[in-house]
Amino acid sequence: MSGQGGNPFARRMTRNTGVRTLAVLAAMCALPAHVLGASARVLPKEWHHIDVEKLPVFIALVLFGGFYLYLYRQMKAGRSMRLRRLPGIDAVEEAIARATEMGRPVLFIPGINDIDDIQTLAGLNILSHVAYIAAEYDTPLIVACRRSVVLTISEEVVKAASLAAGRPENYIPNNMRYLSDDQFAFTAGVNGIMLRERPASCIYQGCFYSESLILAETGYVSGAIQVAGTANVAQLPFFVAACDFTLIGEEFFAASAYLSRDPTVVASIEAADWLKMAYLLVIFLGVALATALALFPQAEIATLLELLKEIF
Amino acid sequence: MRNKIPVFISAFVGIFMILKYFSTYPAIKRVADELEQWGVITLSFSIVLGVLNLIKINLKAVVERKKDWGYKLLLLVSMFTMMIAGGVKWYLEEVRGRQVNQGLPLAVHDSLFDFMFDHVYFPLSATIFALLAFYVASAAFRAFRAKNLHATLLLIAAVIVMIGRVPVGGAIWKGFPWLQEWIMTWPNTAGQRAIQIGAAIGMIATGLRVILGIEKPYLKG
Repeated sequence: MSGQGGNPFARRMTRNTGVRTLAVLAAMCALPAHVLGASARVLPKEWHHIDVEKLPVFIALVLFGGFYLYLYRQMKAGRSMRLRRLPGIDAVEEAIARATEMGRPVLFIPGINDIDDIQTLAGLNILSHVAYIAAEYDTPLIVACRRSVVLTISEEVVKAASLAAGRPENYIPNNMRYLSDDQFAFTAGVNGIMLRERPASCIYQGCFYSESLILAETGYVSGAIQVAGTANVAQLPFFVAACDFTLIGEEFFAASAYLSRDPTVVASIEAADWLKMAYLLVIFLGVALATALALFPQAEIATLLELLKEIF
Repeated sequence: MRNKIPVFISAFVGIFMILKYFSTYPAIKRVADELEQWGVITLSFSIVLGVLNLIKINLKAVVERKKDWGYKLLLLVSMFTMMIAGGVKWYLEEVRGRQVNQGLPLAVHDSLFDFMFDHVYFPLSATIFALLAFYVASAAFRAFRAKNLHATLLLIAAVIVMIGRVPVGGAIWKGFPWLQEWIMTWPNTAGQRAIQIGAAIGMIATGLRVILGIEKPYLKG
């Protein structure tokens, strides 16, 4: 054992059970990396095309898949799962009800990115729910899109939701609008809709950039109740400041499970929570190892910390 | 069958994209690149759908003299003017240019398209972006009202960061620049990373749900 310096307290602490427990935990975490590393060395040459740099993402995917399969089986076996309240999603119904009372339309924007953005897909899931409630309440729904593929899918989503609500006539083709592929031309177009058609509620769900505040402030000026949701961290403060309700990051992605209550989707939300707990453990372990290394500079602790960094 | 084929296609493409992400194997990369190219081509064709939607909605409003039909007419005129000007520019560069430039395209910088892009489109775009400065001020004014404990904490943190970031802050008290740096580096970064980790895990969950066909937002119809 190296690093047995002159500090007697440090020597005592090296033998301490707590530090050893941490070391065992870290070694357990490091094991998959060793196994994978060793496998990469002994496997045939063509297997060396695995990108080891992306190992953390691979571990996250495998962990998530494992958690999901386990929880899905649990749910099939009858285990119930509870989702906490999401005020932002609950507010959507209030916003549509308000529009109904005022006799004005609801405006929905599924972000400004194309269909290949996962946030746009999450936004379209929420659009389905919004269109269903709007059809039930017989309230016009305007959908403004920046990308033509998103427009085409939005048309199908709203049409299907109106049909499911028993009001196919609530789908108005002229309310499904493609405005422009240009970011600020699109923003100007949406602002025009807000100020001319005065929607009572504006719902922004998807990926937004610098236009977020321009949209939200214009919505505020027009007197609309506003519900936003995005995973773009840089835009969240703007939405929080200007909108009545905001779905922040993971809440935005959990919205579809919250709305559908479909066990297969809800299981994936709980699996994501379990993955988060696993990452929390890793973070705590890393903090503990880094603190231990700062207090007692031992080579073993440094190795364990390096291994942890290598995997995650 | 109508639902199964799109789910199969999305699963096939999605799995190849995941394999491409984790592997540097040439065959996988080649297939994934090819699939990406198909995606780009399909998306570029879809612009026609957008243009048709614009024409359908706005032309109908103009013909029926609906409210604000003047704006819609202006939009259609602008769109067609830019399209024609773009076509003329393409003709000058690619057809006429090649005739006079030994078969090579000739760059034209003084066309009607360039004039409208530089003197109409660009200033209008910059104007909309510039609105952000005013909106930041009005949103900040509302957000920083000390209505409750959280809003008060936000107000205090914002004032410290704003004062600490300008030279006069250091002149008032030498601790302001250090304090704002501390707020931005530690509490702010910690909060942002927490949101980012949650969002990243949410993206993994949503991505897998879509690839495995558990959720089909593209098939709601």
